Amino acid sequence: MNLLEIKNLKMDFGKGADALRAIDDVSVTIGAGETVCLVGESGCGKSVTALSIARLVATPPANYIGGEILLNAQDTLKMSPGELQEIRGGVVSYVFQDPGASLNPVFRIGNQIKESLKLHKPEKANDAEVIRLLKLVGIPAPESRIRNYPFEMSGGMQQRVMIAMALASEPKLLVADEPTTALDVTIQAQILDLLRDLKQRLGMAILLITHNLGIVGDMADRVAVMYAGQIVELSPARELLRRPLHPYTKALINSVPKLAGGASRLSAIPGNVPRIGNFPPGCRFAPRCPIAKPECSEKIPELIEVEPGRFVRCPFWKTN
Amino acid sequence: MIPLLLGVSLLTFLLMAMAPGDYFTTLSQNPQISPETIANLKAKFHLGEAWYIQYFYWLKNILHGDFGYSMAYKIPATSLIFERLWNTFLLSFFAMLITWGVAIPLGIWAAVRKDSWVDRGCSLVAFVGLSVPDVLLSLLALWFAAATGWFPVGGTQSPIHDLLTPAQQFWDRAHHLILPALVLAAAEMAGIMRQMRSNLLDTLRAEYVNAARARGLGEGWVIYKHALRNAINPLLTIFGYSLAALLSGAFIVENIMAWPGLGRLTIEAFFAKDSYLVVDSVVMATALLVVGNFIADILLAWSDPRIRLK
Amino acid sequence: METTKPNLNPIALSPGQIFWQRLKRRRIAMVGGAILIGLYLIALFAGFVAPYSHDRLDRDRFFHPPTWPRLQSFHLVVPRYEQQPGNFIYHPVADDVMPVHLFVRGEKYKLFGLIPASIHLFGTGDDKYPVYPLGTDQFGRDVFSRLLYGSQISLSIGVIGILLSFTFGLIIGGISGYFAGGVDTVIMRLCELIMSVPSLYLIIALRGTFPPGMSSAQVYGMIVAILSCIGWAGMARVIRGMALSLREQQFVLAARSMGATPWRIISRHILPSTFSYVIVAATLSVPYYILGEVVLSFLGVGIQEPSASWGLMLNAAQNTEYLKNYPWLLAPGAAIFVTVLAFNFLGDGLRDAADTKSL
Repeated sequence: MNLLEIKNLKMDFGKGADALRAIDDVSVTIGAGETVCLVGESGCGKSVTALSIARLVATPPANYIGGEILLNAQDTLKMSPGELQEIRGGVVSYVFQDPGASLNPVFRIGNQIKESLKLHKPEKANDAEVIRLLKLVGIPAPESRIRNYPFEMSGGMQQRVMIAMALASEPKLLVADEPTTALDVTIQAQILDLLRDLKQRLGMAILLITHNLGIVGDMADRVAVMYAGQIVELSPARELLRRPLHPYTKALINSVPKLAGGASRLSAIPGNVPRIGNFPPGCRFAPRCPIAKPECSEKIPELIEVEPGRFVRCPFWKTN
Repeated sequence: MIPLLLGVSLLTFLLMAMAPGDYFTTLSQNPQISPETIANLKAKFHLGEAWYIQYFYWLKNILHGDFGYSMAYKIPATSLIFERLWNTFLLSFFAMLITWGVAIPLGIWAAVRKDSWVDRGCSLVAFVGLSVPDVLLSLLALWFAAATGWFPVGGTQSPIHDLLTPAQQFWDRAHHLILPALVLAAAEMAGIMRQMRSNLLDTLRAEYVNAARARGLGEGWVIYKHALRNAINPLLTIFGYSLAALLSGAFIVENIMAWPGLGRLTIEAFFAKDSYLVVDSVVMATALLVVGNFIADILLAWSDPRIRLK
Repeated sequence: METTKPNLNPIALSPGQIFWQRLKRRRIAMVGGAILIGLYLIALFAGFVAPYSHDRLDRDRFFHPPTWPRLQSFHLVVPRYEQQPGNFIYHPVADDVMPVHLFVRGEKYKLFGLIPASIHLFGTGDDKYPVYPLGTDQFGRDVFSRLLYGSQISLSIGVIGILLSFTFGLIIGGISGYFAGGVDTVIMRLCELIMSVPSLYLIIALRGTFPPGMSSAQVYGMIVAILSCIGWAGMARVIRGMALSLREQQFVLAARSMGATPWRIISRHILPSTFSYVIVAATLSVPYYILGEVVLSFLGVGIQEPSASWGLMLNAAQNTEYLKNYPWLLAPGAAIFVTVLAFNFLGDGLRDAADTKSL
């Protein structure tokens, strides 16, 4: 039994004729201790998918119309508020993109961490445990840092505090939504090192959301690529990077500028990502796809397992 | 704070000095004031000389606690001023208590139950409340007091006040205070309520609120501990404006409902052509406002660590 | 399965058009605007709409109750009232009625203060059968007519006061914020000074610098001057704050690098960016100017008898005996309430329409 199984999840924003499909038939599984990356450009629905795991998306305006999210075999979409409170932090913890905005500016960070502890591990709700957690995430001189306010720390440190808070309750799954996007490149590397280190030490599963393929290579066991609300490819990480199957994935990998190998033109994907509510008929990538055929715009292709453990949503994946 | 008060006193004094006719001539025309009193005043305040010399001596006397002499009341102005100041302070203070005590919970309620009938009801009442002028409300309250006889129509205490026991005296004063305080509070309440509601709604949209939810904190805890604590701070910044509006409103309420405060004194002094008293009054009212603002600043620094430490 | 819709409206709209569309959607704001247009139109045509002049004394009818026409065999008629001897209570005489017509010839007046005319909107044409929709006051003057003539003063003071003080405040604030440094400090200290006195106290102090006996026109000008002197400070402070942050923006830097003069930058680049705030603030501030005049006149230091202004008329209502027996004296209070309400509706709608973060 997998730790997390998202099965055929469908979610709309709004109701009736004005409904906009944000998540369209998304299925992802994460086993214990596994790191899965959810990759895609802005607006493809990866954040709402991740937030849906603990039902952190406000309903209304969101509207779940199909599928289930099984966390430890229990459907979170059907949980009561009490049950949700237990799994939030207890089973799944979140780290968000902008650490400055995710920390309450008027409370000291020590107290904010203690708050999490009081909820899930009350016997450990003391300064000693907070200091241990801060040390775990690599914050120097944690004894004095406890009394700091968030604005007294740098972005990198704030993100470490967020990670410490997420870990306080010893979750089985850590969902990190673009945890390094708001940080400098050097700090990014440090945070990723930290996550990798924690993953090894604590055996935690991680769902890492990103639009940066470099991170994927670094961290992921498996990768799910999202486009316009749908999963278009699902593969083990190495295989995906070495031999991508979906035209979108191929284009993404090709568009990453390479430092070595002489100067050449940057290859960009022509056109724009379709906005929610404006999806083209049939395959959503067809208008921009180099190998698109007329039948692509007639029907949405199915997500098919074409090789063991590799899923693609494109009938012409074999085309080179 | 001090330079501000000095500046205001100078400005007001200048304005009064520009008024046609002067204190001195009106004084000497009043047969009820003895020539000795006038001579005394002339010596102390250097009346009849250039305005800046008068200002200097006025200031000097003020700092010694001597506010001069009130023609209209024929008593030294100092005790008069402080008594009126205290009354205005009482009125404003209790009105402020009522305003914030009612508006904040209502605003929170409206925000938490957004778009419910509570919210819409509060919005409607707020709109109406914001639009009813103090003048009208005071007149209506006056009519209400006269028609029902439940409340007195003026003054801070009843004529038999000194014959009452201390406990009765307390209730007597409270009975006189309540209607004017309610009227004054009613006008301000709407604005504060809407502001609280809007602040809380904004705060609830913040990322750290969802992050707190993600940690498993209950909805109540998230709203009342995390969000509210942040939503209150912007209100402290408008505390100053609220106090200013309250003091101006008190001016109207005092005059219509015969509450003997600084506002009423200013008008009485104005009609009596007692310009010194007008100046004193204006400066005292300003002092109230300035001190109030100062307290608000301290409260804000205490409440928001970003202001304290940055 | 697909629930997507194609984008049917790719034409771009200017910010002004977007603003207008958003404003139209807010019904309350449109209602407020309509009420205001109605009020100002009526004020403009006060001489025509009012059946009598503002100082016409009807010595036989002090404190007369409102006379409303009623329907009698398809005509609107108004009865004659008879006064009880000894007090001011009137009863309609049952069969003694006179029809009410539209466009009746009555007292002479000057439309817009210029054009002589004598046609009124409604009336009976006979002074023995007066039409007092809101009764009369303690001098026998028609409250409705005085209300209309008073609206000319009260409503116009609001608008003129705002125009003056906001123009002044905009310019001063823009200069202060753009040039910063010493100029800024001095101006801001002055603003602080003005704003630290509770407004009504300052108004009275300013009133004291004017002589007591002035003509109506002079009093009007004085009130406008006083209110503007106080109002500009608040606006200047906010505009100065905006200008301070705007001057750091790239487009200002670009303008300077092209050699634009400070005046041009202030007037063409900085101030226009403040307009959405200014319009909302102006609309929401007019009530304060109207109320300023009302309070001044109410306290007896503004508009004087025999002129009409809403504040002055409310003074009579301060007498609780009058209030109990002749409640129609409160009519100006209702008029003020409706006006302020309309301005608040409109201002709120404008603020919502300008706030791009909301729907």
